[in-house]
Amino acid sequence: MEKGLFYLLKRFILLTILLSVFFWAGCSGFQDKNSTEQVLTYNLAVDPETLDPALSTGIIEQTVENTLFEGLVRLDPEGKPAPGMAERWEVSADGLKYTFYLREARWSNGEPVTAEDFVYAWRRVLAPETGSSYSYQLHYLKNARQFNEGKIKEAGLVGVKALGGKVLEVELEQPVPYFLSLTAFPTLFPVYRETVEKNKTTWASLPDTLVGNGPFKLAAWEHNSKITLVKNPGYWDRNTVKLEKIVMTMVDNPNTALAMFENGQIDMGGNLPLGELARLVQEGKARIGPELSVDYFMFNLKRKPFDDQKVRKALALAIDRSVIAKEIKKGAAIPALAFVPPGVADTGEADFRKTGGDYLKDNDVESARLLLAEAGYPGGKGFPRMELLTTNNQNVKMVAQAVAEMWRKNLGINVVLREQEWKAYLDSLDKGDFQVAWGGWNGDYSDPMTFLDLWLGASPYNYGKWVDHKYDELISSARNTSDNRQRMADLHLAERVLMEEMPVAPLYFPMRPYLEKSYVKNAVHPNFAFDVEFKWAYIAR
Amino acid sequence: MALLEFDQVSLFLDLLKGRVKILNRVSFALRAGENVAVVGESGSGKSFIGLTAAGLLQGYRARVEGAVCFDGLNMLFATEKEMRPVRGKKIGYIFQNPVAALNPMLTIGFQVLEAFGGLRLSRSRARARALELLAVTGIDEPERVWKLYPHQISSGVCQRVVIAMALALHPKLLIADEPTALLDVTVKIQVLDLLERLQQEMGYSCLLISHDLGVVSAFCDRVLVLYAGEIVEQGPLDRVFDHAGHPYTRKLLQCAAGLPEQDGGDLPFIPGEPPEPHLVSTGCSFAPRCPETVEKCLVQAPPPVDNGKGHVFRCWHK
Amino acid sequence: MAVLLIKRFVYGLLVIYLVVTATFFIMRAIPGGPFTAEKKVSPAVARSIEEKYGLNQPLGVQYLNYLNRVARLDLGLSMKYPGRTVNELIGESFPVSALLGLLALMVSVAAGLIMGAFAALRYQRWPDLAILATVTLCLCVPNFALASLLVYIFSLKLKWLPAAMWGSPLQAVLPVLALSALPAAFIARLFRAEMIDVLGKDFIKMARAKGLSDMRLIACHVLKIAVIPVLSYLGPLATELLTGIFIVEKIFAIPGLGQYYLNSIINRDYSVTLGITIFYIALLVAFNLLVDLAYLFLNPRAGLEWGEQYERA
Repeated sequence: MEKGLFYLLKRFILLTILLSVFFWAGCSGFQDKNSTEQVLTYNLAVDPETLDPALSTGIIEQTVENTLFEGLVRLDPEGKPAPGMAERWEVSADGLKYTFYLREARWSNGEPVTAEDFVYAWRRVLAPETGSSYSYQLHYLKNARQFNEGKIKEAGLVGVKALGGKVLEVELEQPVPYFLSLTAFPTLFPVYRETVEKNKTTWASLPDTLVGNGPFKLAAWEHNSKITLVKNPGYWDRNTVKLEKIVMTMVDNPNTALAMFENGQIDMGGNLPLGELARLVQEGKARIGPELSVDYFMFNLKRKPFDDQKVRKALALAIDRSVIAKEIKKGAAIPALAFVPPGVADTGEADFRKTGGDYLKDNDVESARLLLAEAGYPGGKGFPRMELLTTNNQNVKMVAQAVAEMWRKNLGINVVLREQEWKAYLDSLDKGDFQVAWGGWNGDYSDPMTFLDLWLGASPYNYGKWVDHKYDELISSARNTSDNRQRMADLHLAERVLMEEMPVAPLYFPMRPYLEKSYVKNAVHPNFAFDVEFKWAYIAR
Repeated sequence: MALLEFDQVSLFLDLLKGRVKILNRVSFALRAGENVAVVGESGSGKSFIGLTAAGLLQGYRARVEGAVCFDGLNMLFATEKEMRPVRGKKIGYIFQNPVAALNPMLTIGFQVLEAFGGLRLSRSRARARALELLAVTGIDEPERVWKLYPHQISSGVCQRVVIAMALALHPKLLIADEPTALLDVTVKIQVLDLLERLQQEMGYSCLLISHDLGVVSAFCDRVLVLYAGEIVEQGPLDRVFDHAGHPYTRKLLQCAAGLPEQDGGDLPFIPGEPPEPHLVSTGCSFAPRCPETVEKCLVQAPPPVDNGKGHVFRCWHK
Repeated sequence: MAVLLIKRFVYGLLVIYLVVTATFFIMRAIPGGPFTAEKKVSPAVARSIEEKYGLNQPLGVQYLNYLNRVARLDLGLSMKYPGRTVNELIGESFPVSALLGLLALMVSVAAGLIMGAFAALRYQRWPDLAILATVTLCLCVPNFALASLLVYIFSLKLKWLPAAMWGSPLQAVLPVLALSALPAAFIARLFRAEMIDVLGKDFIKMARAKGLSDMRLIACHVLKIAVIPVLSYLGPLATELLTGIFIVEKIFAIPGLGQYYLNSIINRDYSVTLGITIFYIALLVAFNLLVDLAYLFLNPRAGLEWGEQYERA
């Protein structure tokens, strides 16, 4: 006690020094990368919620899963289905039955990949007790929806069967032209039954139990810090894979991510401050990739005056989309003058958007004013107070503010913004508690249907409760035909109806900016499902 | 040779309100074996004479002019390194408030032991010496007191502890700043007896700073009378007390004696207050309060008048 | 004194209980739940998920079940990260936060004391004024701004230190600096004032008169007293660091507990939010108890008047 403080102080200083030395000695300095090494550092931005393909719901999880697993097909750099686990396949004339012939591929533990693995994985996704949010991706299978909804208890009735070890037979409810591509989607990835059953909840989080069949294997997962993947030496196409290692960091703050990129701590990543985008693109450090996505405003048809088509159309026309795309989205968006984004195949090689063309003129203030006057609100007179629901995302808020200002200026309508945090916003949408709301949708597969079936009268995403029988008929007709030409014609017609009735006003098609060092080669940036496809990537300094 | 000598020492402090003159050309000498008292009202700067003498002005933003010599060392030019062996070893210091002079967070033992730091003794020997010294200062159970904290002992015991610390290294000079002011009368007498007894044993000189003329007359050989930072009168005790030359000294003596100035008068006190130290005055600093002030007093400061036998005072009236 | 300690302990438990209860019901009152998602699931799937996490039971039952589990130190399953328990999550990420916090605590206390002491010893001379200016600056700049500035200077311009992530000692430098600047400044200011006060005391003059060196004087006589207000600041400091850590972890991509906490609230991951709340509150209660004990240890008079600060003579 007598020398208490003096000693305490001494020890404190000593401890500090010791601790620092320990800390110092324990690790090497930062980044001492060998320039010829095939090691890629990619910023994933956030920690994946899970790497269980059945449970994951986000593009970040899917990006990682795509390196660890492989479905029946894998999308090639052009986005076309190429043989993956399936060496070849046959489709019946009516488009309802697929027969996949699996190749001699092995799991990362050396066991062969069998048709039974797919049957198990798909049934697992569909079983209600699994709680898979993306199980709808398998609803195309015969009886799958009923099984998923608990109306059928017998898993064997679902349209997927193993005919021997290497042949998988799939039966669909309706012809689905994009079904082949869908088998490249994580929800349809096979999983290795034994480890999954043994470690029901934890199998996908540890390198030992995460048995995969993809080009890479999980080496380490430090939560909220990084995931380390190494090349899978047992992968069937291992000779194509050049990267030895991928380090996926979880740097959430865009400014930090950019600093690390400039500093050489990361080689690529999609997380960057939008304000810097123009400069980065100019300096060749960033590029803007495609994305199957559309942002829009939804009108609530249950609230007056938005039940009036003229009002909706007037509002949709009085928006200057090119200003928003340029000034707020900083070029990482294309003005949307229709609903389905570009990058979706029509018949043959054609692009659905190109074939369909535009359905409205950007910033058509003249027509908008006329329509509003016809609806009984000339110059905005008598138009009730309007509320625009947005999320608290900074960029979304800015878009909403800009549009509100355009509506005020062009139409004389006063708009109040109601900003809500994501989950509260979703809650408001569910309850129909909004007049006009911001919305956004990312395609689940490369087909117009992923955007158009949202607005079916019975769709759970049709928050504005717009019901149009003609539209529903066109969508249902497209779903049931096996003639792709007829199908596309139906979908174009449906989109025309949608844009004529305007229950949703498209704003822009977002694009996906990303940072990438020039020495990163052949990293594919698909327009949906995954941020990056790493199979063919390599480093060339 | 004088043990301690002040030669024209002026002390300035930088306070928030500006630079203030605390001591004004103070000159005096203290010879070895001599006990000198500094008397004066509170605020006259008495304590600063002690602090200046021991080089303890670190807590203030101070500027000193003149020369302070202690044992052949000019204290004003000495480095901290030269000063440290002087403090404690050659000059012991007793403070007015014995309770405040002890660190409330440390045990008595720890603090007494510290005073032996300059001797480079082993811990156990230092402890033995310290305990012995505590016993000498009249503390009954040194072993018990050793482990106590200042708030657990009486102020009288505190003062004995302070005295023990001040005299631990047998200094040549003891500066005692009002050593008895805050003590009860009985304790006060005990402490004075103690100081006297120890002086006989150890043979130190003493600079006693006090406003208590009773204590001064019992203890000291010579007296310095300080008024507003200036020595207005100094000389041998009996000369100053019996033939005070300065009206201020006479007033002090009257107050101490408790004698009414005139018949039927109240208890004596000196009307008025000492001047604010930052106000510069011409003339005699006591003039505004002096009953005998004449024109001249206000205009010109009086020169020292030597009354013989080292009795010097500053007053126009002889 | 033992009685007082027990009293404090019970009081701490009560605080934890109240906070847990409040958090539990507030979280449920916010619109949206853990499984409110953009993509809809079939009712059967939703039911099976709810059953898995016990969300299908009445709120009161859920509450009682939760308390029961917490009493057994089981904080439940994360709803956002399938297959991960809250205990696991805290166990993995807290050591990182703790190390960061501890380093920041040590740095801020050490830097604060050194700066404060230095300023006090050079009172009103230029080092004092320079330190005061630095301190004032540190008190004004929010830590996220400071973090960005530090990254800009030391990482992007000078290229001395990595910009983010955790693992190597160099990576710890910037976050620790960003985190400790404000508390260090606060401690410096507090300590400086207290030192100036103490340095003017008689016992300091007495100690000097005994011939003690400045070093010893400060170490033995000044620090012990002047450190008491700093000690009482340690409780609030811990809270300060905890909240500061949230931001710093986010900016520097450090895999600590703070990130989980913020995300769990956004995601309505009830069990994680509650679990971390309990953990934090327990930590703060324990820390404050420790500070009280240290206080008792340092101040001989605290034994008489618990918790009351030493009154200056």
